Amino acid sequence: MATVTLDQVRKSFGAHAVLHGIDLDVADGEFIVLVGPSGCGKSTLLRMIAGLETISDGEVVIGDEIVNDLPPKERNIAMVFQNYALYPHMRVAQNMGFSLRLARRPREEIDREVGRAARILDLEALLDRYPKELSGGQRQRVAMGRAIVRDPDVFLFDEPLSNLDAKLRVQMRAEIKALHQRLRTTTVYVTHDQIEAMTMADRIVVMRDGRIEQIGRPTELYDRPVNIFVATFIGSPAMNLVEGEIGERDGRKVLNVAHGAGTWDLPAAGGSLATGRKVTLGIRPEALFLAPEGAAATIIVTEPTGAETHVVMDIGGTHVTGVFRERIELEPGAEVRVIASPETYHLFDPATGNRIEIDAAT
Amino acid sequence: MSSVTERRSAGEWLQLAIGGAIVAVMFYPTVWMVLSSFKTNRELFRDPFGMPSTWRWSNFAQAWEQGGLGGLYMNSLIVTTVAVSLSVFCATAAAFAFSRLEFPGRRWVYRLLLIGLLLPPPVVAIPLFGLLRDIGLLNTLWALILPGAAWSLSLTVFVMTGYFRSIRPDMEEAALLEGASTWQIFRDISVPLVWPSMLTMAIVNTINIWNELMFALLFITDDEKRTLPVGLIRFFGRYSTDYTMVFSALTITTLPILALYFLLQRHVIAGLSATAMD
Repeated sequence: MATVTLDQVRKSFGAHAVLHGIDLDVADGEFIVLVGPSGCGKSTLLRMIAGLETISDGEVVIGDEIVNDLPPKERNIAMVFQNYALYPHMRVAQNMGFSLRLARRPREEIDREVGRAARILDLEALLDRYPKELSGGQRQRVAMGRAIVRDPDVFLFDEPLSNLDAKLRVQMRAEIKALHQRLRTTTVYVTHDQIEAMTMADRIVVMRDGRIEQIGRPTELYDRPVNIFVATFIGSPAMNLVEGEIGERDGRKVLNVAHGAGTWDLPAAGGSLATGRKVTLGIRPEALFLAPEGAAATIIVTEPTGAETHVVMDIGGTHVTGVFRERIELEPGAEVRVIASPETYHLFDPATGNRIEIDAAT
Repeated sequence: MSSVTERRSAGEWLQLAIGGAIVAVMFYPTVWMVLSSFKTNRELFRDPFGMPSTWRWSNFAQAWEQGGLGGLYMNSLIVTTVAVSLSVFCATAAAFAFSRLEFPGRRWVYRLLLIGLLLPPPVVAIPLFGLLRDIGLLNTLWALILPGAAWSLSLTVFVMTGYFRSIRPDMEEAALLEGASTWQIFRDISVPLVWPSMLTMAIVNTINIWNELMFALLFITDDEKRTLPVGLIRFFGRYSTDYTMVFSALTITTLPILALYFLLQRHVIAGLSATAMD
């Protein structure tokens, strides 16, 4: 096992820069997830750690060693690819034992190590099959088995679940997490699926356009996103954004939301915000509730999911999604009033998109 | 109950008819050659397009004996096997390098190699003759093997490079991470992946090299070193030609190639039409 440190790592393809100075410390045994939309540079970063892409500038350190100029095979890392990258002409056992065969390990040792990995991943019955004879989930497990056999310092996962159906993805998610808890190998995992990131990571790295937007524990990112991008990327349904302006009522600071659709109280610390200041109010869908003193809203769509009801509403021309635990049976066009508790507000500067720390605001 | 697929539209029938006519026109000369090989010379001239009155299998034995086809066959077999193996192996290795490895001038070397696709054989025949003479290979089977392999190289590299580029490099990258050297990746991962295309090119090159006439005429002077296409000239006399023997020998010559093609045509078509793989 090892730490992974990225120090001002940059990558350019010709004149086109795709990574702009990435700094990241991955602790020994940590499970870190790189998440972001397509084209944000997360897979490129992973491939640079693996040694499959050259590093234009900066340093990649695995353990105590700068690995910039080390070939992939000398980095002692194992990677699980998006499409599994199993060798189609080799049986499962041969796929899993290929690295040991290359290292000229004795036959008995290869069999023992393959057997150990197969037991961990419940692959013992499949060892004589070819990859084409396996289901998607089984192939994924073989790909992981191939990585485990090597007993690497670092596991790299490049969107390993994106080819699986929704049900299998949930199952494999749990299996990968359980595997990490068992082996405690340092893991860097790339995905564009924020649910995967939230459920699996010790820490999440949110990336956009070759830059890190925020690094933190899943709940940290959920509760205190540093900007509108992170706020809307993390969480499903996504955080609602409503335009607002700081106003005053009865000598207290309030928030006029959605062009006068409602006037909501601000948290106690909100008094420091200047009257007339424009803000973007972020509210998690589950923070909304129905209340007579709330803002006027018109129901657009209700989506019962069984455990909860998703309701899309129009508040002053802005579409807002609410997630309610109770079963709401309202027809489209119905008028309701919704509000959120002031302590659940996220305020952002509309110009920069950055979070407004209410305590520090003026 | 009739299914939708059982009913053909008039357009489909027309397509089938045109397709059938093209196949008939293309294939009839071969059928004519085989039928003629069973006839006598008199029968051949009296009724050139009819069926043979008796199936004279002895014609083949006679042609084999008279033309010394055994020796010609062996020479053709040696030349074709060695040249095809050389060209397919070298072209696969080159295609791997062009599509997977980074080296200076890669694109230019590749383009230079493809110029070979544009050259007609007569253009290089004279310089090649001089070259082979200077290195002492003239009038040896190597004089057919090396130019034959080299001549196939451009097309084979072109097709193989396209095939490599259609395959995602993930498996090779996985092997790289697992500690494989470039040679091990080529041997253990890439070659098994591109095997269908290698087989296709092996068949295409076999057909070309087996039938090659011009180099074989120019570079070989000893009778016992001749290959089949040149050897067939033995049947043409100054004043008369035994056409039955010519057709019998032609049939014997064509048979292995036809058999090879029909046996492996599925691979040939799949290999040539493969442009993408998942």
